[in-house]
Amino acid sequence: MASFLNRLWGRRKAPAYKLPNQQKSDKLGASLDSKKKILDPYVQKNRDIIFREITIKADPRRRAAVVYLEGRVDKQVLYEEIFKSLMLESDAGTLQQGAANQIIDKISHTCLTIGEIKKVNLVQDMIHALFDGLTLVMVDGMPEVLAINITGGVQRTPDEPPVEKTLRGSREGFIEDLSVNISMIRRRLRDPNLVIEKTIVGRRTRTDVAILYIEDIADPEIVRNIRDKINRIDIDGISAIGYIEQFLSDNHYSPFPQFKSSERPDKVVAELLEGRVAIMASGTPWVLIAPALFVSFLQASEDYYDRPMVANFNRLSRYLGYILAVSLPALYISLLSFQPELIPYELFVILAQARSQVPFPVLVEVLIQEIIIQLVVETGLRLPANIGQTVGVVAGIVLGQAAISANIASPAIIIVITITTIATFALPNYSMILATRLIRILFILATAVFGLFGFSLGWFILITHLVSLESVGVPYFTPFGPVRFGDLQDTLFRGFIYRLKYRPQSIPVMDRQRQGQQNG
Amino acid sequence: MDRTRFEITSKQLIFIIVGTQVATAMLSLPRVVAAEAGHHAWLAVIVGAVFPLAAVFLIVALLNRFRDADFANVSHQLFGKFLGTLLILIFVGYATVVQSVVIRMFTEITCVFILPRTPIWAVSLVCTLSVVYAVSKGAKVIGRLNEFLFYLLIIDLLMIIGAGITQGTYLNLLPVGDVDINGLMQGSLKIVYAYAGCEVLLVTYAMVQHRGEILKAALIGEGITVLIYLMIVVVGLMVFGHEGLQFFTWPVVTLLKIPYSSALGRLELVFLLLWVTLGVRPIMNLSMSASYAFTRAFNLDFNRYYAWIVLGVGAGIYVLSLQPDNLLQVFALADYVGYAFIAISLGYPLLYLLVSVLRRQKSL
Repeated sequence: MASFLNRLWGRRKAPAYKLPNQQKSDKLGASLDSKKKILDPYVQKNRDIIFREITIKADPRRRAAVVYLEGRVDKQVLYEEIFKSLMLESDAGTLQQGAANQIIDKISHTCLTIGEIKKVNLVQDMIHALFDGLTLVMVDGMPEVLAINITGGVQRTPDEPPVEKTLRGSREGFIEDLSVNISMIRRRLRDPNLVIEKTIVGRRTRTDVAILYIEDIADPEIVRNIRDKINRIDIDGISAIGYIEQFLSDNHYSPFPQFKSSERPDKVVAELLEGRVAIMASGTPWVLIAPALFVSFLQASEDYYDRPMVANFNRLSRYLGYILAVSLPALYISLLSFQPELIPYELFVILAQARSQVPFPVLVEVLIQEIIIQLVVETGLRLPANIGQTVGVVAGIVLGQAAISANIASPAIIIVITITTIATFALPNYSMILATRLIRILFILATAVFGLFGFSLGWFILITHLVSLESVGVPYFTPFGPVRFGDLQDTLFRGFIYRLKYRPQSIPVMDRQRQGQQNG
Repeated sequence: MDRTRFEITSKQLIFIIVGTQVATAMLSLPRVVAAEAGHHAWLAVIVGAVFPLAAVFLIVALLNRFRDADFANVSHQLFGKFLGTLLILIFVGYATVVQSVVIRMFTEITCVFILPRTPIWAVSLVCTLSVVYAVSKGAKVIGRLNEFLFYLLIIDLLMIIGAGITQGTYLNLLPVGDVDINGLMQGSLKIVYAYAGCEVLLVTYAMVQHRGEILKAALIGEGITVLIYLMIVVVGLMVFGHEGLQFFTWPVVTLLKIPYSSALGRLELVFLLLWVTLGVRPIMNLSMSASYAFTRAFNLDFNRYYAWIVLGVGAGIYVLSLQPDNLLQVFALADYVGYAFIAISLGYPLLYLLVSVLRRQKSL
């Protein structure tokens, strides 16, 4: 509705994106002192910047310095491969050969036994390199500085993903470190066509962001679209990948997640193989996947690991779960207060009797319970596990037993709300759970005013909304609207893997063939 | 102009045509037709289909002559700026009146079956608003929506057929032959109201991506509509008989009240759950066509004005829908809409064709 209002008022101007501020790109001076002068303001204020002057064994007259952020570097490597190599082990013969202006290359080529080294010759680049966690090696008389990547420090080890649990899948989950996360993907997907583009988002946080896709599968248009949008982000900082998600999405006035996020590498690999694009940001153990379809939020990776008969059953029960999660309390209200004639007589009598002592109208009763459940869920999310459990038990008893004995709620409403809550959390994706919770409230209000008609109207508007959404240009509600029959075997149902010879039609890809024809 | 928001596939055209025709009229159809044609009402459905089929052929024959087959463009080319705009406005006015009748009918049925104590203006208002919301998204979304909703319609139809088979008897259809020609003709004229809707092709023609498939798609759409109506009329006759049908205003809903399952209660429940999605389709499609034609007629910027025009059309529909005093007037209006439909869907293409032949603008 809001997007409609926006269109009404013609607020369709393109947002005024600015390119990241480009300071004057001054070149570095040659002398060590001039570089030290540049870094001095930072070194004096920040105790974690270590500016260490050293003497290179092979060239003792030349002054040199190593600058790094304490805590961002792997100290073992720093001492062994940089300090020790330069101060104790460098060989005078090789270092002093040739022209003096090549000494920086010589150091890099003969002294430092480290893989990732780049040369920096701009002031801005040097400062950024230092704060990005690189170790700087500078020598007197050279206008270039070596930026060495030996970032280390304490990292969380990969662990079982806490939110996306799995029964049969991999137990490995992403962590906050981008390179570790990328390595998890590389280890599972050794295709040379897997492309990993890197960029930096956030003027101050300078968060590393990576875009992953398989070059000969993913649609170049989608990749370009995502790359452009990420490059256009101009913000001082992002603290999690959720920021990027909101910058990328096309429809802001929608509760529905238009990007799928996952914390499991096996899931991301499966999505990449279907021609989707993954976006990673350092600092977040979640990976964004685009384009996302509505159905993909109701699919779990076990669907593909289990036998198809069982997987189909699970998937159908999840669809049922979604419908219940959105509509059960609303249906209860409309059938009880507007259309009692539609449900079997005996059932209605039971429901009415249960309600006879409750002083509130059905709507109020449902809303009270719904709000309490929302609060319990919200509480349980943030509390430590052991306290959370206590809250859950207390809330359960209060809601269940005490509320009924006090005639504040009828047993039927407890059942309805409980089923709804369970159905909500049967959905495999947390963003979709959040959307469902919000939509449910809207449905409750719609039916409270218009009964079954409001219910029907609610579904109509919901479907209209879903059909109108797009995720990076791909219709969100495919394969249902627009209908793609070919994809129903892997959405509504889960077909036999050996029969899924082609990638889904819903997502544009360059290479549709997935299996050899001789399979099966 | 942002034309991507107004592109549909030929497959979606099928569903748009079905969706514009099959709606509230289907619920009273068996009664209306059987009143005139007796137990040969199903024949009247087939005979009545002549009108929309002729309209489809004429419209396609007309618009095929133009490279830019946009309705507004064609009108302007043939009749000049002033007269062309006037013709488009008449079409928009016609579409608005049809929608107001449909929405009023829809509201009446809603109030009778679901919300007996809710005022008409409230139901009509939320209905119009949700239609405006859908239409403001553009033709692409409307196309997809029609496609998806068509499959929901099938659920309804299966229920109706199921009820018909279990409750009805084929004896009510006998004897075949011995047709009352006069009644049959009267019945076919009555059914024309139910076929109103294929004139959206005038506007949607230009939105379809592959022009070669339009005639086929439109004919398939018409075919599906005729089949659905045939099924409904046959089922209605089988269950109630042509005289019994006259006792119910909306025999199809009454039909669904009969079967009773111990778990779900009355089957009507499922029908009512899908009710809005069934009823608002023609309003949605016509409203989209009218707003599109209007915007094009004055060559306005879609991004800025389309949503306003949709809202304006919506307001017009809403006000008009509150005009009739009671249900009888609505049914009377529905008959007039049927005649207006014949005038518009046959008259427009004929007039246009005539002028375009006279002006020999084949190359344009």
